[in-house]
Amino acid sequence: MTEEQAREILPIHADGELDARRASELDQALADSEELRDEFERWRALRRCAHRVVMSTSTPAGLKEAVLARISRKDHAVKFPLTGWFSGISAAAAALALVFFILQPKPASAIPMIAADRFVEIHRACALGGPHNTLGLNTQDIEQARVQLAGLVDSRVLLPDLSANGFELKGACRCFHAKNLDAVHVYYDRQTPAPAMVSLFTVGCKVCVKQGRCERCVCASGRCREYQVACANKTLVYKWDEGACSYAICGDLGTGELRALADALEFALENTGPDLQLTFTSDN
Amino acid sequence: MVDIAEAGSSGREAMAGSDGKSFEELAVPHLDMVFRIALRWTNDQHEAEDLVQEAYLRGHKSFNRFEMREYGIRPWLLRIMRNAFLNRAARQARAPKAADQQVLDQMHGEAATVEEAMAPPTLDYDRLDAEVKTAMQNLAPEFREALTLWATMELSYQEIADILEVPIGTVMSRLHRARQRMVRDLDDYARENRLHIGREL
Repeated sequence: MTEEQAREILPIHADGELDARRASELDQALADSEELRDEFERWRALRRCAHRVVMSTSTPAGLKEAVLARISRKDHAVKFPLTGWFSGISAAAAALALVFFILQPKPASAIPMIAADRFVEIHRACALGGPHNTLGLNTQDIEQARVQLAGLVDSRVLLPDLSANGFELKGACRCFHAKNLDAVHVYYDRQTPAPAMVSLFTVGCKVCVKQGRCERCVCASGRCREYQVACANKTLVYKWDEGACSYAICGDLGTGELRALADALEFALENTGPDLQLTFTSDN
Repeated sequence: MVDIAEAGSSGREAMAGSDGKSFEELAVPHLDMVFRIALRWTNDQHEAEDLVQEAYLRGHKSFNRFEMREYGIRPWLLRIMRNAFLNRAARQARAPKAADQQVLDQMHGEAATVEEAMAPPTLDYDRLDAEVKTAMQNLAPEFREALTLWATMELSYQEIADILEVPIGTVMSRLHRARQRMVRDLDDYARENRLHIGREL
C-alpha cells in the first residue's frame, strides 16, 4: 500500500469501518510512518470534536413529558382503531366515495356562495362613495324610474318606493362582479331623522350568503319570507329569494330599523308593475 | 416531497416485531440523542423540539410496522425524523429539498473534483468546538445530516445509510466531502489566527 493510498482510507479506518484485510495493511503502513500516525490521530480528534459539539446540548426540560403526553392524547383519540381487513374495506370504500364525488357531474342548479362583504363593498363604493349612477336614473319618481329601467334588465328589479320611510332614490348601477353574476344595485338616501343610505340588490339568480343565519318574517301580503342575515364591516345584509332571483338590502342602519325596512318591502314580483326587460349589457 | 407510509394504529397495541415492548419503552430512551441530532439539523431549538415531537408521534402511529432488527429502533426512528425534516423543508421551501445523489453530485461535483484532499490541520482540537460547530453549520444540509449522524459515534456507516435511505457508498462519499469541507474551513481559520501546532503556535 502506497502512502497516498493509505491517506485516502485513513478517515475510514479512524471510523473503524475498514474491512479486516485493508485494516491490517493500513496498520502496517501506520507502524512504518509517524506522519501517517499523526494524521490518523487528527482524523480521530476531528471526530471527537464533532462528537462533543453534537453532544454538548442537553435535552430541554419537559420535552420527554411533552412527547409522552402527545402520544397519550393520540392513544385516547383512537378509540376504535380500524385494523386488518376492516381497515382495508374502509379505505376502499373511502376511495370509491372520493372517486364518485370527483366524477359525478356538478348539479346545474348549484347555488353560488357570496360573501356578505360583496354587497357591503358595493354599498360603500357606489352609494356612500358615489353617487355611481351608471344606469342613468335621473328621477326620484319611482314609477318613472321603473320605466327608465325597462329595456335595460331582463329580470324583475326591486325598486320600491321608500318615501314613506324618508328615503329617496339616488341612483343605480350594476357594479356586482362576484362570480360573473348579473345584478342591479339601486340605492336611496335620507336626511332625517338621521342621514343614512340603503342599498338594494337584485341578483339575476339565486345566491347563498356565506355564514348567513336564517330569519323568517311574514310580509304585509301575508306571505313568508326567509332571510339570510350576515354582517360585514359592521354593516348588516339581509338576503332573500324570490322566484329565480335573490334580493338583498344593506345599509348603515340599526338592526331593528333595517329589518323593519326589509320586512316592509313587498315581493318584487308583485310590486314592480309591468315586466321589466333588462338586457344586462355592459353599462360601463 | 418525501412520503412516509404510516399505518393508522396505536403504538400501545402494536408490539409485533418489537420483542413485546411498547413504543414508549423502546423509543423514549433515545430521546436525548434524537433531539441532539435534530438540533444540529435544524440549528434551532424550538424547531428541533417540534421535529422530535413530530417524529415520535409518527413513529408511534406506525409502530405496528416496525420490526426489531439488528440495529434496534434508533435508525428507524431517525429515518422517520429525517423524512419529517425533509417534508418540513420542502413545505417551507426555504431549505433545499431532498435531493438524490445525482443532483448532489451536480451541485457539488465541481467543487469536489477541484478540491484537493486535505488532511486535518495540526490544531488543538480540545479548543476548537466553536469553530467545528460553525463549520458543521456551514455544510450543505445533505452533508450536515450525514456528518451529524457520524458525529454521534454510535452509528455505523450502514446504519447511517439506512437512516438516510441511500447506499453505503453515498454515505462514505458525503462524509468524505463533509470532512474535507470542514478541514478546509478549519485550516482557513488556523491560518487566519496562526494556530497551527508546531508551526506558528
